[in-house]
Amino acid sequence: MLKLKDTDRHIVDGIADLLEGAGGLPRVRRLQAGRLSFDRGVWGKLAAHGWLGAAVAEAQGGVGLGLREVALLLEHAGKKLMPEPLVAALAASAMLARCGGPGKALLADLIAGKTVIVPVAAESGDALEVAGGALAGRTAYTSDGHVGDVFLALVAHGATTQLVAIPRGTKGATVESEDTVDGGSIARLRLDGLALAELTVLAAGEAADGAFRAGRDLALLGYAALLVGLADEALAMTVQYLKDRKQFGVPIGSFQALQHRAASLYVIGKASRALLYEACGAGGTPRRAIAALAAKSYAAETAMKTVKECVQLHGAMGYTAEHNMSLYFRRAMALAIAGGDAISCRKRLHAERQRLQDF
Amino acid sequence: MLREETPAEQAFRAEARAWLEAHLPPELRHANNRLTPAELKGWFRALGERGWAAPHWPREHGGIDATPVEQVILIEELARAGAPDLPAQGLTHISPILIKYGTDEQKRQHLHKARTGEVIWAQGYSEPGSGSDLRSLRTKAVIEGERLIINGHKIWTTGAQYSDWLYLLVRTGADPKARDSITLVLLDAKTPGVTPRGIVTLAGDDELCEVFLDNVVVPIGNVVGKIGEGWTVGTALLAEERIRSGTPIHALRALSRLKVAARYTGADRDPWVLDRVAQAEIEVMALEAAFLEALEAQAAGEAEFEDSSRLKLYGAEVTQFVLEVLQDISGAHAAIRAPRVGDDATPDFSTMFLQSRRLSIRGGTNEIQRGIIAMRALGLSRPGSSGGGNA
Repeated sequence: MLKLKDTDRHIVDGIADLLEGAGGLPRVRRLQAGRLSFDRGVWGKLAAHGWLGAAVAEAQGGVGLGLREVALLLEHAGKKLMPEPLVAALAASAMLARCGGPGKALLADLIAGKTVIVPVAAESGDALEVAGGALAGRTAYTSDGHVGDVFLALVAHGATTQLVAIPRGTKGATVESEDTVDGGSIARLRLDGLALAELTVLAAGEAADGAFRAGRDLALLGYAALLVGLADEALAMTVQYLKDRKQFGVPIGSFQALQHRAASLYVIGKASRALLYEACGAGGTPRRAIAALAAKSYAAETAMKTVKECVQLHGAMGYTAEHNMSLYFRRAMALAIAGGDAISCRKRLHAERQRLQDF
Repeated sequence: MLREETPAEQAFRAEARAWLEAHLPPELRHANNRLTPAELKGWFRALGERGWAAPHWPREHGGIDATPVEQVILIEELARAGAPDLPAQGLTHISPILIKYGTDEQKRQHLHKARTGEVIWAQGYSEPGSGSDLRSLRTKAVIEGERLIINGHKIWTTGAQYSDWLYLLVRTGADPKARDSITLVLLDAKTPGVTPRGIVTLAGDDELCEVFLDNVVVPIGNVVGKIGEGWTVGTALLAEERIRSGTPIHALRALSRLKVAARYTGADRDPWVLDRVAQAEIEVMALEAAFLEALEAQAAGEAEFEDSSRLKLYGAEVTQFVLEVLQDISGAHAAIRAPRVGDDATPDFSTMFLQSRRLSIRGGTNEIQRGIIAMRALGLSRPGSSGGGNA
């Protein structure tokens, strides 16, 4: 599988050219040193290419890519360490596309690149609890929440649930953010007497649940795809180094001790990629969430193993900030926890199994 | 398999499940040890006649031309039903080679019988001095008119004492370095001068075996391909063997054992244990995905040379990992000796774990596979190739 089709070329080359044109790894280095994980100029270009609407049907103003193609786009964005919050936006777009009426304007602004929209979840479970018509407590940390103009959240309201939009600056919702090692951020909302009546309800009941879950699962696959691409590129750089670097008069890549470590990374990297694309095919099944959680968990652990080994295989150079491997290492750390760290993904996977009575 | 199945695939799964329920003898289910060919014969025949012992084979040779997805569905259903491992060398090792290189007579004589388990095969490649360095093999065949006279000593000839036929790599040329000095030959195990001797394994069974060959006379018609072509023919065979030995069936069986054990000991209520079980489960999903992807690449004619090495290695590691988790979570039960045949409620804590050590050794050790991947997939140079180095 996954020999590129002709139509895939457009995606793969398109995103690679865009990110190279925007400044490549030197731009990533600059952004990693700062505190804002992306630049608006590049965001506008992503919008102009239609990528912000990648996961939305053409009839709704998107470009209607399948999950496999979305994963391909992100895999190749991951190779170049794209810092932009594209996964969060795609997840939000998938939610809004399932909402109809009130979500339409938000979706249009999202696709046009005018508004950055980020989904947030409760600290445990998906939905925030409502008491006395108001929201209180905190959401879980969300990657790229720092740059969200609008947040999407699921709230449990009596017996039913609602998907609501919380614009930044809404009274009773404070953004608390922490800088991450890759120049990005995680953020959560502190909710204190946020009146539910003030918020736009985008969907209710099963429609709200379905929309939220679709976006959440897309985010898992999206972060997995970024990690798969990142690990692949880190290994490729390392293999090249093993060929170029000579010691004792020979390329160090001729040493079996190093060959076997590189080979092991190759094997798990391919497995991680295969699992990702297999999971992309689970869309219409009850296993969709399990598949996405598995793909994310595995991709996170594989990418972390890979960058750790890649630093080691580069020797002292690998430990310098100057070497680009440092960018891959830091970005891998941030992506590993995005959408849920490996352990929490497995916890949710088990809960999902119990829900399906399939342990 | 995670992907959405087509209605036809769902129907195939339902058919397989119902058929296995009806035809797999209860006494063969959830076997803890590898069963002998005699015990497996009836089941092997039923599966073979159904076309499901080698479902990927073309219909003309008794398969069902199964698609990659159908093959994986069948693997999942066999594992689910607790079907035992079959002595499959005849099916997955020598038969594809006979289909590709065999004479019409060889195909007529062997393919059907291999598929139904009427004839059980063993592989005679390794020798006491030639394991990973297979090319240095010394078992000698002298050509005398229409016959070969074979003398030598084969080892790790799995199941040879229970087998009806063997396929051997033998030396037919004088120059051990020459590419054309090795020949692949088929040998009836009842031929005078063939003496198999079982070797007891770490796991306590005697599936390992050595075979002494003392002036064994073989008709020249039993040579596969031409005299001296054995390395080419045999290498193709190894590639075929390895991609199939990446089958997730062992890992799926191990995972179901793991879950049975977790339920039995009550460890399934411990969050730490559940995390490790989920980890094992995800590894198995990744293996299935990688295996299916490789089958699809093969079917599309896009297989990479290293795919078979990668799958063989990964299949072994995942299965071993799952069984290591089983050991880790089982507390004091971990050392309990299991009954020979289990059931789906009584766990086997130890046997499968003991047996799993062979997975990363047989068919070319995982280290040999890593070397192949390093050179063929990553383009790294042969250890010690440019002088110096610490190969």
